[in-house]
Amino acid sequence: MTTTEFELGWDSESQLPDGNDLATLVEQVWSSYLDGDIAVLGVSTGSAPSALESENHVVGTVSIHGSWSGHLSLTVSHACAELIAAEMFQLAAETITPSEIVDALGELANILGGNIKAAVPQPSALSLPQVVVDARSLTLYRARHVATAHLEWQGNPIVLSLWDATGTGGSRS
Amino acid sequence: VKALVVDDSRAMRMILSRILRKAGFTVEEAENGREALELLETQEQLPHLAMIDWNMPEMNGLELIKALRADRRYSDITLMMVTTESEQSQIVRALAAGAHEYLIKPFTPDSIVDKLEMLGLYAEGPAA
Repeated sequence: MTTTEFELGWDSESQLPDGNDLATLVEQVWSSYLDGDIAVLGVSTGSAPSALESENHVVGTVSIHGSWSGHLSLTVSHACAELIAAEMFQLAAETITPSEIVDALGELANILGGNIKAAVPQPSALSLPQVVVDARSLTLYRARHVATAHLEWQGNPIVLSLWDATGTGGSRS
Repeated sequence: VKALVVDDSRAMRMILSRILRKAGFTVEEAENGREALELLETQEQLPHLAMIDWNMPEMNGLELIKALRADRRYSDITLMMVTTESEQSQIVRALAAGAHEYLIKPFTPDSIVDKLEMLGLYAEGPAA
């Protein structure tokens, strides 16, 4: 038995993923399921992430609970979410339904979250993904921003952020 | 050759089904473990392969694998866990429950073909 595992750079024993790690993870997931180049625009660690300019965001989140608790949020514009769903379902973007957006973004958040979970202190468990369509803001109760990666795919911004809620009992609100 | 894809994401079921069809499989889909068991009950010809996600509502992949391994009617089905759960402890749990193979998301089409070849399920090559 062998497993297929992508190599990520962080040391799970001593530190949490940083912005570069998040960017690498997004690149790997995108290259597996979506066509077209994805470019890293920037990363930040510690400081709060800047918001997307568009008001109509689609946000996919998953939570990790256990020895380390926190959240991962994947934020894209509505237009970008339609393109992502169109590629994953192999349909025309103009025919994509909200439920297909929720499904596609939820699965990407799940894959990203699963790989983050493997890098945080164990044991921990991953929640099922949640997706909010047409979100205007994201509030994570008592969660501290850890890192964010800003990327661009087909001219659309993509933001992946990691939030630490260890010891706070924090949850999505 | 017949396969069953079990995943709560319809997008992921479609991605896996496309890869399997290119590899010569006929494919059926279920969106959780309970639905997979119900589908198998209706099958005259059982699948040779089941690709099973771990984290699903209603009945997760680990519970499905345990249920399939507890029922001798399904003993010939090759079970492959396809999941984001990548810790060694989780891989051990899945294999101990009866999974034959374990594939971590994100995967590539080539990585699935490699698994099929290792399992002897790709001997005739891709469908024309």
